[in-house]
Amino acid sequence: MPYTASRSPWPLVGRHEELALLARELERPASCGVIIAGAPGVGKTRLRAEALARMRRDGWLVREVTATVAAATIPFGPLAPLLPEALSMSPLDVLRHSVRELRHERGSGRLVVSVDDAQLLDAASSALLHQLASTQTASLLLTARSGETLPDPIVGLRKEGAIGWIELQPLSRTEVEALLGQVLDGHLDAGTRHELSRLSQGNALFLHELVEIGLGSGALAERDGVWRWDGEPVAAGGPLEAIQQRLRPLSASQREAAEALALAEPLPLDVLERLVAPAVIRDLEAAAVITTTTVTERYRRWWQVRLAHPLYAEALRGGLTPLRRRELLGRLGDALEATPLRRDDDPSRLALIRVEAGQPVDAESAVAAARWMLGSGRFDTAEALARAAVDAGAGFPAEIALSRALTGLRRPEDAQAILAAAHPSGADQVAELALTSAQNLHYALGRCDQALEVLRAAAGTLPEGPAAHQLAVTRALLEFSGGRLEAAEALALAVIESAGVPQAIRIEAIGVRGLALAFSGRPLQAIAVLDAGIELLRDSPELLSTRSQLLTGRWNALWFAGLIPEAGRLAAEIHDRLVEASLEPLRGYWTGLVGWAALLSGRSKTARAWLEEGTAICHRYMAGGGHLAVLEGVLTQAAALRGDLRRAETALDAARAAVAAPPTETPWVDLCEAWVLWGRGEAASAADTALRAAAGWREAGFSSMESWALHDAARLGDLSGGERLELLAGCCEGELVPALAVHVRALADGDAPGLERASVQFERIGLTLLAAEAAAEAAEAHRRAGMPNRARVPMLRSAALAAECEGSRSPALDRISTRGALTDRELQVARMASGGASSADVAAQLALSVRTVENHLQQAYSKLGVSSRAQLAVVLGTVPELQSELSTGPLH
Amino acid sequence: MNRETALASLTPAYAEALRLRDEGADHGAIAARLELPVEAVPNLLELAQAKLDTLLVLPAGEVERDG
Repeated sequence: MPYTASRSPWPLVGRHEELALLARELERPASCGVIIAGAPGVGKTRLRAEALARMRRDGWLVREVTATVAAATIPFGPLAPLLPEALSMSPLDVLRHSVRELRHERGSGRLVVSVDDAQLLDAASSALLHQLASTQTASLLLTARSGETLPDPIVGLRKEGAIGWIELQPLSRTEVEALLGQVLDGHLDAGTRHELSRLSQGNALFLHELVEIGLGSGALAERDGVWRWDGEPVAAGGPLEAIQQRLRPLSASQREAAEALALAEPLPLDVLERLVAPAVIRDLEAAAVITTTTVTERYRRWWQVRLAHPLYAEALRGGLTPLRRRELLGRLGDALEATPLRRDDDPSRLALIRVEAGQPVDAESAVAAARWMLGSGRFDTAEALARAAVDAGAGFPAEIALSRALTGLRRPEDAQAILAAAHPSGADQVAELALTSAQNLHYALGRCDQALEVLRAAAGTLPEGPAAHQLAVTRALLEFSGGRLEAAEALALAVIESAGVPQAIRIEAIGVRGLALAFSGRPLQAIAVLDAGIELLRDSPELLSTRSQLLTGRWNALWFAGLIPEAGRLAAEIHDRLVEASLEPLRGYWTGLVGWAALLSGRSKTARAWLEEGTAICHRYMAGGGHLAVLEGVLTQAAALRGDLRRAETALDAARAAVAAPPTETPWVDLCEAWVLWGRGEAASAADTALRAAAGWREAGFSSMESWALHDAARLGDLSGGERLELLAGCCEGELVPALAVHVRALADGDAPGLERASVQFERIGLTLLAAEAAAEAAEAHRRAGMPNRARVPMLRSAALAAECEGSRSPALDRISTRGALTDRELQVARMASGGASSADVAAQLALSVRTVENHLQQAYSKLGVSSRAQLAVVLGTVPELQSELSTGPLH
Repeated sequence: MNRETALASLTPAYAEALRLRDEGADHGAIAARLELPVEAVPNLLELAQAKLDTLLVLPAGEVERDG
């Protein structure tokens, strides 16, 4: 584990500009120095330490002290370590003598006197600093807390403009993430990054505390190469010293107000005023424990109160006993109920508080709150709310919410039992029951046929209308999963073209049609159809899962159309939005898609990190449904391309176990297994397995995927699918399938120019690893045709492309090593020469003659078909290190 | 990264300072809005601009290490 040193100093990240400014300020003509001001924990002392270290390196004489409350009671107390023994001197004499002494000490060099926490300086010390600065005896580098009063002499320097003022800001989110990346030295789950950034608000001290707490409690840990925080951000009684110290002086009523905010912030001011007296709130504001803002929504305007820092909430919540929490929630619920509603979700918030306080709830509000929690993936809270709603007599809607919560909690059998006992009334409820039941049966219990049967049976009882349309769309989606594309498309199209279909249902149907188009080889039509659907969604921002479904279809269509970079950008954009919105269940799949796009472009290391994260989220929320098998499959491939066979095998097992729709998911898992077999060295079985996957998709009508699998089979050594691929290239839209077909045909013909063309096409559409493979194959084909000189350019191209692929392995790159026929010694000499060493240096290091080194180098040039050291460096950039180089140093 | 995205990635005080400057606010107004001494504003703007420039130049997600 890379991060072990508890309380060790962290690297300074994100302060490049501040350090540069500081240096400029100190060099400014007539500058007396700089004050670094900022909030506690923002990083003033760390910045000062780095600046002083740099000044020492530049030859400055550095004298530094830290002012403290205790030392401030004695004249010159804080500066005592810098001053001469002056027990019998008057303050004026101390001042004069000190200036003289320090000037003597400085000599002709430059002196900086630095004080940490300058706001704690006594008057005499500040007068001495003023004297040192104004006589240009020393430059000052001071830190001070923002908002605190500085001693007059220092304020004077500031107002004269003699001393520069840097108001240090918290780190930005990007800077926090970069810092975490360096400290933890690995891939950090995006949700964890976001949460740590939010909680710390860019305050380096808080961030350090949080990480220490997480590591100490085991909540923050590296699992399968991804750092993730599981559980509550701050454990009860955690050592958040800086925060707890700040909260310790609160009176009982101040603490009560702060605790209420910790449970339910933000709160309207009048709600809080029902709990404590207005003066208490004013005092909290003055002490910067809370902040107040005015909010205007729909012509209503009110004051809103929050805690000044998210960590206050964590610390306060962690300190509440269960009974105290219950009592406070009860009072909070009463206060909320007694004040006017402001927002649409106020009843849900109230229901949540009532349920958490163990009090009776309004049935309708509890159902709404349960749905709200379902959308956020908080299934346990959703279950509690739904059960409270059932108890309050909410009936059917509460039972549906409860079953969905149970599905989310991985209790699909319990969910099915609730549904079996539910009593729908009217067409809408019949449809909703069938839909919920079908989804549970299909995605959670894997009973696909039974799911379709439920939908068909319900459809038979419903009149034409929205309820029947909703069922038809769900049926279309399940038909798609079942590999019956024509049926899926026909059902979706019928809904789209029907009159009087509610917009939300029509858009869902558009999503299913888009999927069917994309997978059946018509990705360009799919993009057009889905974009129209996405446009319709502009007016319905609340339909998040529908939007996600449409965009998922778009992502696939972009891949099949050969627009890989665009697919990567789409995944990254949606992922970031879902992180911001804390929509974890949806984020899981999109995290995986970010990784998948990276894998398509050949960046297997990046891909693996994202996929580890995405699959972990999907497992946590079981929201993957069919997605989980797919993502575990992609992870299998990523791990196999990295040469991590053990991880590839466990991911493959997980993928097989998660298959919910065998007709469409089993071929994918088969294809992923092919890569595991290849990793094991079973090339023939690997290619057979890829062909089996292609056959599965052919049966399902998934032309784009069939093409992909046929191409993979060719990469694995079996070119028998070439003819079929040619046929598919003729009927599939976009650049992808034709490029795959060109590649396989050129491979079959040993056609070097054709392989070079395929490489260029692959590179253009963003399939970098495939481009590197095709270029290497072109070089090999040239050599076989007896034209080694022509191999040079594709060889260089392959090396340069492979260098972008993060060390990904592949059959072609493994077979046609850029190392060519170099001996170990030739490779060793070539590598040293390509790193910039002269022949004489190489000769000296390897105890060889310069002539021998030159001979080895010429052999390497000739065998690799290169003519310069720069070309050599490109070609060798992808050759693995020799074991002997790694373990025993130079060969002799 | 485009300017709008880069601005959104800055610490709020920097983004606000640049926004106010672009709107023509003087140092006094910026200091009042951000609750800072007016002497702090020139350096704040300089830092904000430097950080914005860094974001516009660096590939997404990269931040330099300083020490």
